[in-house]
Formats: sequence, structure tokens, C-alpha cells
Amino acid sequence: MTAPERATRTGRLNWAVWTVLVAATLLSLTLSAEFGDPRLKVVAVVVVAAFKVGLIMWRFMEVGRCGRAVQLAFLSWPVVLVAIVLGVYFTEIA
Amino acid sequence: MDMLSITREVPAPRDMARSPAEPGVWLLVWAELAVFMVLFAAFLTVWSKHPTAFAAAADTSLVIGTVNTVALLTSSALVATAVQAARQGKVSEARRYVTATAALGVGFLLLKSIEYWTELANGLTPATNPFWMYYYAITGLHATHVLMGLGALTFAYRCLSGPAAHSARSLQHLESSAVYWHMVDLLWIVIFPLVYLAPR
Repeated sequence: MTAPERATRTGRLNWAVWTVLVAATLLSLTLSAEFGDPRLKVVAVVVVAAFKVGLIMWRFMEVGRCGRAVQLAFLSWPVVLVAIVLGVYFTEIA
Repeated sequence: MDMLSITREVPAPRDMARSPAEPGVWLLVWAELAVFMVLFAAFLTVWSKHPTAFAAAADTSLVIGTVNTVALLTSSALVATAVQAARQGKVSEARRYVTATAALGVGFLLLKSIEYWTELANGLTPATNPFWMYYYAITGLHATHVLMGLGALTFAYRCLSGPAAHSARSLQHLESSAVYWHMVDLLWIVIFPLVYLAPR
């Protein structure tokens, strides 16, 4: 694959990722309105948010091009986020 | 076997192997993410102590929150495209993408100002209850980061406009600004569901 072809492909991929991110946002809104059970709603919106964060880190921030330590430090952030939010929510709030 | 027929794998060009952005920027962004993580944990802890106060999340604007989410997602895709353009040496194209990114950032702040103005006009201040205190603290701190991100984008634009526009240094400044801008975006991606949607 030539450099211009690779660039075109990368550009298309960026906008495909953008489409997935916007669709995930709309999904999150729909789920938060549809779920009667607040616990299901919180799980859904937090998991969708963590997925979006991971996608942005990997695709837009290019964390995959960094060293292992940076990859671990960044990609563990959405995992820890889900653990903290759902952990506190289910032990203290729900 | 003929020695001349031995082929060696061509190593990847050095540029492809290097991390985008400056190492210090990655450290700064990680530290910012850690600070916001603590804020999110504090938000949840206070929510557990004052569950009725947090039902006030229903008074936040879903429309403005959603539009701002799409604006920041679009701005992230644009600045990523700017980085790709700069890597191909298309500096003027990269400048246009950076300008569009910054315009969406300004749009985000304008909408956020309208949202604050409406809420304050309705008597919803940081002193109203613990939810509104955390709402203003988290979204206000985030808005400050949007402002700093706009400063970084302005700096990147200037680097792409100067005599050294095509240099590796200018590209690295753009990559650093882009990484910071993506952080601004992903923080909002957590703030919107956590503050606007979850307690509603």
C-alpha cells in the first residue's frame, strides 16, 4: 500500500470511528431513557462511556504507538473507572 | 545457498516507531486523568450520602449535553485528521482542520455558558445542594481544560504557520496539542453520562 493510499485509509477509519462514537452516544441516551431499573441504566451508560474512552485512546490518541508502560497506564483508566463507578454505586447507592 | 540471495527484513522507518507527542505531555495527561478520577469518586461518594439531592440531575439540559458531546467527538476526529495531514506534509490542510477543531471547542464553551446562564437564572447555584456544587465543580474544571486545549491548538496553529511549519518539531507540537485535546474530549464522554444521565 502506498503512502497516499494509507493516508486515505486512515482518514476514512477516523470518520468510521467517529460514526461509532456518535452511535454509542445515541445508544447511551436511548438506554438511559428506556431502562426502568436505575441499576441497569447506570451499568449501561458507564460501560458505553468506558468503551468510547478506550476507542478514543486507541484510535485518536494513538496509544497503541506508545510503549507498553504508557499503554498500560492509559488503557487501564477506563477499566478502573468502571470498577470505581459500579463498585461505589452497587455498594453505597443502589 | 548463495550468500547474495539472503534477504534481510527492512526495519520500520524510525518515524513510524516513535510515540506521537512529547513524553511530558503523556505524563501531564495521565496526571489530569488521575485528578478527574478522584473527582468522579468524590461525586459518587457524595451521591451515596445525598441521594435525593442528586435527583436534581433531571434539571440538567440533555439537549445541550448531547450537542456538546457530538461537538467534542467531531473535534477529536478533526484534530486526528489534522495530524494525519501534517504527517503527509499537507500543512495548510492541517491548519484548516485545527481551525475547525478550535471552532467546535469555542462552540462547546458558548453552549456551556448558555447552560450555566439558564441554570443560574433558575436559581440553581453551587449553594443549592451537593449535586449542583459537584455539577459546577466538575463541569467548570472541564471547561477550564477546554480553554487550555484551545490555547494548545492556537500554539499548534502558529507552529504550522511559521517558517518551520514543515519541521518534525512542528508536527510534534501538533501531536501534543491533539493528545491534550483528545483528553478534553474523553473526560466529557465520562462527565456527560455520570453527571447528566446516571443520577437522573
